[in-house]
Parts: sequence; C-alpha cells; structure tokens
Amino acid sequence: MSKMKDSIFGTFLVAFVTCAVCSIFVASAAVLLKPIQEKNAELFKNKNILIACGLVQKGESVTAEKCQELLNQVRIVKVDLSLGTIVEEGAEALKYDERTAAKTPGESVKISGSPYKVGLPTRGRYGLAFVATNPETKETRVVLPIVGKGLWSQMSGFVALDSADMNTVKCLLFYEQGETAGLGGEVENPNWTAKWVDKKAFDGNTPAIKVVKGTGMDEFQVDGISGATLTCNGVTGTVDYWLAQYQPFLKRLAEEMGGNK
Amino acid sequence: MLRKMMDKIAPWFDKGKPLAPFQPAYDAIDTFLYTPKHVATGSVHVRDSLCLKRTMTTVMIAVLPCVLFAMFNTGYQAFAAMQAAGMSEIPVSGSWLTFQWQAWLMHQLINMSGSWGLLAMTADPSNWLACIVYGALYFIPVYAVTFIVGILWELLFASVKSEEINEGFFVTSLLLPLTLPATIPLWQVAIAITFGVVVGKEIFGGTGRNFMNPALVARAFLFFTFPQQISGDTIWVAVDGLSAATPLGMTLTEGMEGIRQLATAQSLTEMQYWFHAFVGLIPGSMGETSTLCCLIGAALLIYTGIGSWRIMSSMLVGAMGTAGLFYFMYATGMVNSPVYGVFPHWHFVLGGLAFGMIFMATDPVTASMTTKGQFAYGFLIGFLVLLVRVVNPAYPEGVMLAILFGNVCAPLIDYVIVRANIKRRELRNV
Amino acid sequence: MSDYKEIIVKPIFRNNPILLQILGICSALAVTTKLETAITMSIAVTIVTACSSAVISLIRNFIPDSIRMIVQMVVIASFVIVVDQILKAYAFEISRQLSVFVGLIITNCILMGRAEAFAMKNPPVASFLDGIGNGLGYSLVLVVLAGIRELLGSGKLLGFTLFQTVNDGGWFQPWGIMLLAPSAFFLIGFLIWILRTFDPSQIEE
Repeated sequence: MSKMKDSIFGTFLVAFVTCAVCSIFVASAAVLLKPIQEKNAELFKNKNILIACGLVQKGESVTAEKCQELLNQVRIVKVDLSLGTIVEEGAEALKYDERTAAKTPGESVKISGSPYKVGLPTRGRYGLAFVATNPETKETRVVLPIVGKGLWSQMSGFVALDSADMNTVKCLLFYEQGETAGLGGEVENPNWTAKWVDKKAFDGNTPAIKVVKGTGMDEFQVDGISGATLTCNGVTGTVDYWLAQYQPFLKRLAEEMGGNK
Repeated sequence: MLRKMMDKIAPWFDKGKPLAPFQPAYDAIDTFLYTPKHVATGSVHVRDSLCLKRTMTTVMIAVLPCVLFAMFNTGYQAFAAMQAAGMSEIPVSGSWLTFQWQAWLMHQLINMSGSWGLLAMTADPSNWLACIVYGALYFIPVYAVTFIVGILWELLFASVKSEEINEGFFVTSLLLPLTLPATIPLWQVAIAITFGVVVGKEIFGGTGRNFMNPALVARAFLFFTFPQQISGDTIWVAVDGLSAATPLGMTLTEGMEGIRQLATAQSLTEMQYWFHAFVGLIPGSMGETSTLCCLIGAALLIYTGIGSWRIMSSMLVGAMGTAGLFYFMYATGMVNSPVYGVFPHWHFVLGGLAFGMIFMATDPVTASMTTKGQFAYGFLIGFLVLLVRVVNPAYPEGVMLAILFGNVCAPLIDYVIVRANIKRRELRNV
Repeated sequence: MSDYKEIIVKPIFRNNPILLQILGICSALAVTTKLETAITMSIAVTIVTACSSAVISLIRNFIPDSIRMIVQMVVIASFVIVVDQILKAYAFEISRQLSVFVGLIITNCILMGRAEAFAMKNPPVASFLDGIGNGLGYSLVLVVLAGIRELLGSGKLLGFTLFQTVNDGGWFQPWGIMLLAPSAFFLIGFLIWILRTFDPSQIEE
C-alpha cells in the first residue's frame, strides 16, 4: 500500500483524483449559487438608487420584489453627458456601468482642465440618471450617480436634486468608500449627509455647493466634518464635477418637464 | 525633623509588616528628598559621575523655560484670539459636561484683581500676568492629571514587582503635557498617560528597558484614538467657540501663502512673523511653540553632556536638508503642491520640530548609543519629520511619528555600527 | 468519550490557536472592527477547519508524502471557496464587508497547522472535533476582540447603539484607534497577558 502510494503513478493518481473531486465540488457550488449572488448584487445597487430617490429609508429592509416594484416607478435614463441628450431609457439603460466604461478606451472621456477636483483620470461617455416622484409628498427628484476620490479611496454615491428647480439638493449619500474610519468615513453618516438637504447646488450656471469649515453657512455651504478636511475637499470636488457634467442634461430635462406641465 | 519622621515610619514598610507592599512608595519619597542610602556593592560599571536622578533633574530644569512659556502662550493665544474677535470678556458657557471652569475662574480673578494695583489683570494679550495665570489654569490641571495617574501606575507596578520606583517618570510626566493642546479633555490625558506608562514602558520592564519614549507613546495613542481633540484647527485656543489655524496646518494646503496670510492678519511682515514663531507666539501644542525656549534647554543639556549634540545636530541637518530638497523640487517646478515650497527656516520654527529634537529624540534610553549611530539616528528622524509633514496629506505634523520610528530603528542602527566595528578590528588583527 | 471532549476543549483555553500558538493573527486584526463580521468569520473558519480536517484525515492514508502539502491546500481551498460563495449568496452585506478576508482563510495558518499536525495522524471523527475545537478557540478570541473594538470604537454592539456617540448627538467620544489594526495587536497582547497570569504554564522560558 505505502509503496503504491508513493510511486510516481500513485502520486499522479491521487493528485488527479483530488483535483477532479475538488473542482467538481467548487464548480457546482459556484454554478448553483450564482443566480442568488447576482440577485444580491443587483438588490444592493437598486436599493441605494431607491434610497437616493427617497422611495426607501436608509436601513429599511426591502425584499427583491418590493425593490423591483419600486424601481418600476423610477424613470431610468442613460444620458450622453456632453450633449445632455437621452440615448436610452428604461430597464435596459440600467445595465450600463459607468465605472467599467470609464476604463474602456473609446467608451471613456479624459478628464482634464476641469476646475473641480474629482481625482479621476477618465469618465464614461454616458451617465445614468434617475427621475422619481414620491407618491406621498409628490416631490420629484433627479438622482445622479457620482464617483470621485477622497483622501485615500474612491467614493461612490448619489446626489439627488429637486426637479422643481433642478437646484435644491434633496439627498446625498455614499455607499462605497474607504476613508479613515471615524473621520473621513463619516461621509457615510446620515447625520452629516442630512446637512446637504435643501442646500443649493448651482449659483447661476456654475456648480457652487461646497463643504467648508466653521460657522455661518450660506445656502451653498455645508458644514465640514472636523478632522476630515481633505476628504471633504474630495466630496466638494466630486459633487461639483458631476453636477457640471450633468448640467446640459438637467437643462434639457427641466425644459421637457416644464413643457409637460 | 522630616528626616526623623521618615526614619520613624521606615520600619512600617519592612518585610512582613502591614505596609510592606507600599515600600516602593516610601522609598521613592525618601530618595527624592534625600541622598539614597543604597550603595552599589560588588562589581559595578561607572561610566561617569552622573546618576539617573541627576540626569532627570537636569532635564527637568532644561524643560522649565518651555513650561513657563507654555503657560504664558496659552493665555496669550486665548486673549489674542478674543481681541481679534472683538471680545473683551471671557465667555463662560457650556452644559455641565462641557463647563469651562477655567474661564469662569479667570473671570472671577480678573474682577477681583481690579484693586491689586500693578497686579491688576485684564483679558488682554499685553497683560503678561493675566496670560500666565490663565495659561496655568489650563496647563497645571493637565500636568497634575498626568502626574497623579502616571505615578499611581508606576507605584502599582513597582509594588507588584517589588522594585523601586524611579525618576524617569518625572520627565515623562512633564514632557507629555507640553505636547498637548490646551483644550485637551482631562479624562483623555488620564487614558493616554496610562497607555504610555503601561504599554510604552512597564510591560517592557520599566525605565531603561523601554524601546519607545513613553511620553510620545501616550501622545501617539491620543493622536490616533481621539484625533478630533488633538489635530485640526478648533483646538488650539482656550476660549470657547474661537478657533485658530496653526501656521503649520496652513502650510499643508496653501504653503508659504498660508503663512503670509497669517502674518498679514496680524499686520506683520513675513520676517517679523518668523521671529514671532521663533519666540513661540503662535498657536500650537502648549509647550512646543517656542523654538527659543527649546534652544535654551538645549544649551543646558549639551553643556552638561546629558543631551546628545550629535543627535540634535544631525536631526537638524536631516530636516533642513530635506526641506531644502523639497523647496528645490518646488522651485524648479517638479511638484505643484504648495506645501513643498515652504522655506526650510520656517520648518525649523513651526510645530514640534525643535521640542522633539531637543527633548524627545535625545532620550538616552530610546536613542542610539553608538557615536556614529547617533548621527544616523538623528538624520533619519529629521528626514522622516519632513517626509511626513510634506508628502503625507493626512498628518500636518510628523515629529512624533518620526521619533517613534527612530526609536524602533535605534537598536538596529547600533547593531549595524557595532558589527561593522568588530569586522574592522578583526581585519586589523589578522 | 472524554478524549473527544478533551480534543474540543483543550484548544479553547489551554492551547488556544491565537493566544498560545500565535496563528491566524492577520484575520484577527482585519475582521474584528465589528462583532457581526467577526462572528461570521468565526463560523466560516470553524466550518472550514472542521470539514477540511475531517476530509484530510479520511484520505490521509492515500496522500503521497511528496505532494502532502499541496493536497491539503487543495482540500482547504475548495472548502474556503464554497464558504465564500455561500456567504455571497446568503449574507451579501457581510460578505461585502469581509471582502477578501474570507478568501484569505486559505492562508490562515490554523488550517494548515491542524491538517499537518493533527489530521494527518488521527482518525476522521477526532480530526473533525479538533477542527471544531480550534475553530472555537479562534472564535472566542475574535468575538472578545470584536466586542471590545466595536463597543469602544463606535459605541455599538452588533449594530445596536449602546453608547450614543458625539457625532450622533450623544456623549460618547469613540476611540478611533479601536477601528485601526494596531489596537487589535494591543488587545491580543493584553489577552495573552491575562491568560498567562491565570495559567503560568503557558509562559515561555
């Protein structure tokens, strides 16, 4: 027995059988669980969109069905950022991934010469936007995805504007960031993002909202997080950059929605 | 009389007596007041006529100018900020949790002192007595908490290990408060000194066996645990609701422009403001601002041979050289960030560079022992200070981290130097 | 029977994988900022250690010496990947927070250590129990660490607020250092100190 097991043939046999059994085991688990995993990832993404739209509260648990049902009330559009035109609408548009596009040559646009420090080299040619009306408050929000660099990490989130004036901020949230826990990490804290609500995004035609230190805030200024100045500068740059990119679209949308009234 | 009393109670602490566990405490008080009775027996190494006690006493005297200036400047900065904000009375506010008793007490003192003639105090930066009194109201509680909490831990460890308590802690307890901002909450000081004494020193065997400076370990603990109370710009002024940016903090985002803004705000030229900073009339940690007072201490330490001039000079060369290099990179356009463009002579007077260089890096226990090693050790720290200050955007000040890193590297530097020496002598004797 | 009990209980205090063998420190630093992730990680490691030990013990007489380590690795890796997949499917939020650390269970020395030191020489049931015991020893330390770190670092336990933090309008000033990896080093050091005070036989000469 022991001779057989240490022979070259025995070694190969054991190696082969172990690998075969293990790979079948791993592969079947992966294949069987794949649909559930994808559903989870999608639910996570959609839930954040719904929170920004004001249709779901943060921390509320939502089933996949409920999430889908709510998402059906949301108008999802894919926007050509430089022209401001809508290129695609509906659930199909949701499949567009800005972060992948930003890394694909041909699909991306170089970021240079922007006065807003977003900290990224490129962005996707298109961007998503969501328009949703809250059935209770009748308030309509336009939700824009934002991504940019903080102090250490890439931060992803959404900013929501009131569609009535395309100017009043209704929600800001970050769902992914790796800033210093307890300092920069507080950008995720709802108590801080609540300070953005009802501030004004644009001063005339330029994005003017910014995070500042100290007291005496005007309508464009948000009180910073103490000890996290550099993260807050990143937030300012990120929000203003994307507001500027979406501005042509916001103008078109305002005209369109005004026309409907 | 005191001697008689001490002798009388001495037997109570003998072995087997009820107070035996407190023998170290008795011994500490006794030897602090009088010459130790213990005489070394057997083979001992005597390197020079210094003992630990005398070393520590000298260091404490050398730190004294910084302590006095710390009290003055804390009050001065508070009143100057009030003056700039147009306040004439110290605001007393806050709930019971945040009640500023110092402000309240100072308010009463100012009212009372009206009839004291020359000693009359007003909340005015030009009234030096008021500045010192107000500063002392902030400095002394921090020092008292550091001392009492720290000495309790020392006593506990000394009792458990039945060893004597020694004077190393007196220096630690004096250095730590000087590196803290005036507004630091006292309970945080208590936690920090506990950490510094227990983790920074006692678990490695007490004074002489610690590989990191306990005062800096305590400060590093505070820095990472409660960053809001020890960095940022709302903490440097001991007046509720007022804030002031430190010049070093300004350089991080705006470079020399930030310093010029601060100078203009006080209607000073850049050079005059540099002199202000050299004397120490800038916001910052209580005892670190005055480069001048640190230099007075340095003179004493070098004269008595307690502080290593090798470490101080090489650290200065390392820091100034690196600052010069960064300035060169900025001036030639290799980097854009304005923080690179701060002149080396400004780096010298800002933050805790001088204080760390003179009192922290030279701690004989944690620094390199070999002569050549001390040059390498100092240079390494000087270089790192600037690296953290300029290149890392998250930390405006790098002295603390650089010295701790130097402490960790010191045994390695010594090892390399000693090995190299042994090798050379081996070759010579072949 | 008492042998089996001994196999399970011994690694928890007398021969704890983290506190005495000083294995698995990396993940103990990384996943203990929150109790929730620490518990998930503990369960994952316990299951993987137990199952892989049992399987390796089952085939121990067939494994050629020359590729012993690789076979052990393959078995362990398979279990780790499966556990990772299951977490992604049924505990998405937590697996997002654990990120790479579930995958890195493969490199956790406890697993290879138990496979090599115990499972290769003992029958499957004993190996399975040894895996459970070591997993529990690991879990105990993780849960204690995470409990301290979450409570002091963010004033919460399992996400429930116990101390209202200053940022949320309360009184508690969270200890930032507890959210950074070095605090786990200190805490593990203190745990070892406490353990060795009560059990001096663990002190190394």
